[in-house]
Amino acid sequence: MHPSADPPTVDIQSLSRSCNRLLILATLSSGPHHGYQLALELEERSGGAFRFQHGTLYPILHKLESEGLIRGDWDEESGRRRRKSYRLTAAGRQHLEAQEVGWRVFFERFFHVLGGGKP
Amino acid sequence: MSRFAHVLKQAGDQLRVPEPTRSRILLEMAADLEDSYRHYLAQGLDEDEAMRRAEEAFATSDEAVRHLSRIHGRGIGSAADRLFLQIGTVWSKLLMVVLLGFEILLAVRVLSDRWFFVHPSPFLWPVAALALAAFLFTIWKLVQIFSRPAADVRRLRTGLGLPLFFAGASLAVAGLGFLYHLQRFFRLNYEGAPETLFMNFAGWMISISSLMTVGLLTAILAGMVWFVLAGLVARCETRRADSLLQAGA
Repeated sequence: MHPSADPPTVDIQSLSRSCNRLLILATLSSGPHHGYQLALELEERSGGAFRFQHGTLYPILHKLESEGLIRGDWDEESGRRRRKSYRLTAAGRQHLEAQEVGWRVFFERFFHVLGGGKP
Repeated sequence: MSRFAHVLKQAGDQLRVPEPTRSRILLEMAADLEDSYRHYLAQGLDEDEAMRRAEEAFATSDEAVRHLSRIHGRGIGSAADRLFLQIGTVWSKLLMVVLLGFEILLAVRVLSDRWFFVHPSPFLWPVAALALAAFLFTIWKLVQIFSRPAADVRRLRTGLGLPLFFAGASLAVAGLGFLYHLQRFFRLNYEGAPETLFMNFAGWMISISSLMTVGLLTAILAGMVWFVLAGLVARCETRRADSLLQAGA
């Protein structure tokens, strides 16, 4: 990776927040999930590296929903039990793809710096 | 009634968001808490341990509560939520009844006047179909609101925006019809004899005024229906969340 490439879209000041948003969008790209299911799958996919307190998941989900990147609907899965299920919107999918590119560039630069900034 | 009422009450006390958003958040948490509890039970934990683990996983941090309050505490959605709950006051109920009654009387008057349909516009039928769809939807939603058990509250919001779609669509169809007839009227009179101008104009006015009247009436009625239904659903959500919270008080 050459340092003169386009700058990444990742804001280093809010790295953790951006990271959490992207992880949620990426998990939802495989299909609709309930809040609880989402936290479980994230943990499973990351081999236990990313653990969300479920309580902290709601602000991220609700923010993404208010931005139109995901949509939450109440649905029925088994018998009479109903839960809120989140799915990725078209805008969310586009956002995810754009963010993925930004994060790749970010990490390439990150490791470039770690490696002493040598070309 | 929820086995996690005390957790929900604690979260509800911390949330600084208007009703019914607060109730919606609590209902979502209640469903996820229950899922989490069942997950731990399925893993072989006993009931007490499963409850403890579920509660632990759902502990809301102060920062998370502040974020939720920021997201839901302002904006048009929040203002609309506050407005819906105002339907509960006597004056607003009276105002809604008067406005709805006036609208319905006007609609009956229009539909019973044969002059409205002497030169029906072809655009009148899609508008009528939208009005019928809005009417059927309203009946279905009212049945859902008043006949289903409290456990179904979470489903009530599904499709609630449809009356707004019907309102917008009827306005769009009526507007499109207006432009179509306007263009047709000028084209006919551009090529036609001057003596037929008045007759053409009268026919055009009858077609277009009936179309615009029915379109506007449909839009206003559908808009009012949406407002009333949203208020009723908000009320159901608030009652449901209150019953969850009271169970732990």
